[in-house]
Amino acid sequence: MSKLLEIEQFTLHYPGRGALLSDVSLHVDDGEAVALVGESGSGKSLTTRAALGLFPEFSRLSGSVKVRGLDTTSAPAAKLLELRRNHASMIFQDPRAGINPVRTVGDFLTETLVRWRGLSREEAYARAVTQLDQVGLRRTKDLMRQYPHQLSGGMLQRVMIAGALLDSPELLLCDEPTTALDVTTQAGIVELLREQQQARGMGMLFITHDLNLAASLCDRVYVLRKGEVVEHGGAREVFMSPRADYTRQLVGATPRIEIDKVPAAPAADGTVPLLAVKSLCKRYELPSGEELTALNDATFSLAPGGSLGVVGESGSGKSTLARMIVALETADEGELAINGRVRAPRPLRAAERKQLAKDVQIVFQDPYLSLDPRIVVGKAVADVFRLHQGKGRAEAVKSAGELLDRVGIGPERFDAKPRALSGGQRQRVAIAKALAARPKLLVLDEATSALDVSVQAQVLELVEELREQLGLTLLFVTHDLAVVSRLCAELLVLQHGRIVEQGSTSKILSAPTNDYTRTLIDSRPRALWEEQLA
Amino acid sequence: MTLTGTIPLLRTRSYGSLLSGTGWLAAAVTLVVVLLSVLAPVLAPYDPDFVDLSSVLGAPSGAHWLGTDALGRDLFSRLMYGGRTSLMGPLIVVVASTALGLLLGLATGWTDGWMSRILNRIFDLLFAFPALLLSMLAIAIFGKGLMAPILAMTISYVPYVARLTQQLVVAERARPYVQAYRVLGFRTPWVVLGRVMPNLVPTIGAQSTLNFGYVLADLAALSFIGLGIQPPTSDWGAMIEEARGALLGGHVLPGLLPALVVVLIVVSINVIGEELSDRIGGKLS
Repeated sequence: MSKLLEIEQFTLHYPGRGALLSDVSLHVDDGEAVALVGESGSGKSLTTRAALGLFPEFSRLSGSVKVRGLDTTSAPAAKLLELRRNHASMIFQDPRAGINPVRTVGDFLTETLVRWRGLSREEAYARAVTQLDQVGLRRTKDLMRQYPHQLSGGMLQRVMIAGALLDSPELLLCDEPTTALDVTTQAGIVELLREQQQARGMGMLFITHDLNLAASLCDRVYVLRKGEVVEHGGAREVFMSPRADYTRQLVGATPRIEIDKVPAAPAADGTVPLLAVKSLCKRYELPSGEELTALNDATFSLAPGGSLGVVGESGSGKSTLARMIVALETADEGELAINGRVRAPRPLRAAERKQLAKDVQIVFQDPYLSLDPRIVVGKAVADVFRLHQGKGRAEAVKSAGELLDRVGIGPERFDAKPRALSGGQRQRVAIAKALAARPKLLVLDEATSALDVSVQAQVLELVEELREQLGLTLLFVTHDLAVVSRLCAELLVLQHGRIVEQGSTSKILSAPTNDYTRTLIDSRPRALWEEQLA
Repeated sequence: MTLTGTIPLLRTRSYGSLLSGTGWLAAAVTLVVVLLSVLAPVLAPYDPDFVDLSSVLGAPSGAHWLGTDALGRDLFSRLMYGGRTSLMGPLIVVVASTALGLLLGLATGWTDGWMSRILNRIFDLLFAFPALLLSMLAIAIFGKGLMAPILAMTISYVPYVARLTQQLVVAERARPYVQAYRVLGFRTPWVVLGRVMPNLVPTIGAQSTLNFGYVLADLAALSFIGLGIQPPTSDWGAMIEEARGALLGGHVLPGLLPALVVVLIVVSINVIGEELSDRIGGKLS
């Protein structure tokens, strides 16, 4: 039998953009799990889609992409359809984008069985239910009648996997199937994929930007950069002793929990805490009329010069907390004091807001959205200097230049609009803008999670540097324990709006007392070889 | 909760040009018509109101390029002068309704108090009124001429601009960059007028371009039924009306030419407006 997936010297040219993939060769055998690792724009998705015969319009192809001997670059449409129906399935990053929101899970799963495999409705229904059981879902008969919006992201991704497995594919293509999910959910999905892949002897091509994840699931790895395979081999060899510079850089940039590198907390000397939060509550009314408690009875404080990590999964209330600290949300109950000044429990007036801005600033998650698209970066920062330092135009521009230079944006970029900058550069500008108000406390709301690992490492380095130079106090909101271990002396774990554990970072990470904290730590993907050792 | 956007399957991007070939043609037609109208006093071969009973309903000739009407007036000159009134009306309406609609839209989109609720209900009410009907009402009150319909048209086009602005503002208000301005301590009026409004102008401008065509057609219709511009002032709508007698006598040109010009300019402006809002709308989303 011919090879399952064999890509040979595949090159894809796109008019105006040059070669998006050049000379890519890779193969996946039956029963083998292979990872394709790379940062955004490296061509991971293009490669996977090529295996299904999906190419961008107007692109020029050379080389071959063969699935069971069928070359998708030249195969007729009917053959490709046959391939997609019988041999290969794909799971996408965002399960919600891949399912029709107005049809039930049952419709989604049985449609192809009835239409293409000629099963009767009853047979199809039975098979779908069995499949749902197999992917670890419960109450499967009720589930068949439910609509996608009634399911959580993790459940929906399981449904999508069930849908992909129904066709009994020989090749399963996974395009970052867990990136949009929480770590604890991700751990379950990864477990499921591994189980199914081994039980069925499927070949799997798993795309990810997360080296740890790749190592936890796959035996072999291809590292892709700018459309070229820079390294490939056994997962352990590639990650433990990388040969290519780029792989080395990637491995070095991948955050790890390193307890001995946790920064020290400032000595407690009885000064007024910079941020003191007492029994803080925030509730939202849902459209259904129910009340959702986003944050419940949160109490903690942060000394000047300290650094606090706030960790939790989506819906834990961590962003709500960050937004309340910078007064984008108003607390329903409790007290929030900054620098000893208790905040009035109402939306702030303009003068109060300006005063607060000098104490606290925030950097948002997505630098593509947090900068005004029309304003050049030099002016964006200068505006803040004019507002807060009362400087004239020329002086403000000069100060802005100095600050931008300090965060690593050279003078040649001062006149650039945000869209001309890369993600990392934009986040640097966002940091400069926040720092221009000379805040004492900097809140980072998932400020590095939208960035590639290597860029994330650089931005984290910058934040560390700035903290030392300016004596900043940090509050870092994130889902990533490794990032916290590097930056924050203290840690606060949130679950469903409640603080379940707080204290020194090194203590919590080495000996968690709370079950949820333990689950969070254990859910981090571990390399296959480590697991075999343990 | 990492967000790494799905890698786009390379959408075909339009390079450079703001308009397509058809769009540029439409722009050229518009420009020619506008220039001929603006420069009418310099370029027009005759006084548009000069009556020459010796050459009534003349066919196109060397002396009169497009012929003459029932009173022997030069059609080409009348078309040029007619453009001055026919284009001026919509221009005033569009500028006024855009300015007013933008401000009201920003105010009602940004705040959520009783004022914006009342304004919103007034917009609903105005949407229910056809612009032409409101104009006739205004004419009944203020008398015939250009001012009453311009006023009425402005009022009835304000809600269109305001609603669009409102929707854009509500979306914009929730964007992180606007929240960043708030956290930085910038005052709301500065943020709204200085930063958010300029980001909306291209989209609103495209919508207003479309409105121009509709208003022009409406005003021409009012003139045609005798409620707009009064004779002898030349106006495309009024010219069509005056030519009805000639049409019955088999003379097509005096009625056909102004009608053609109206169609030409309305179509051209709609093409430009549609293309602009497609491009700009696409860029924003």
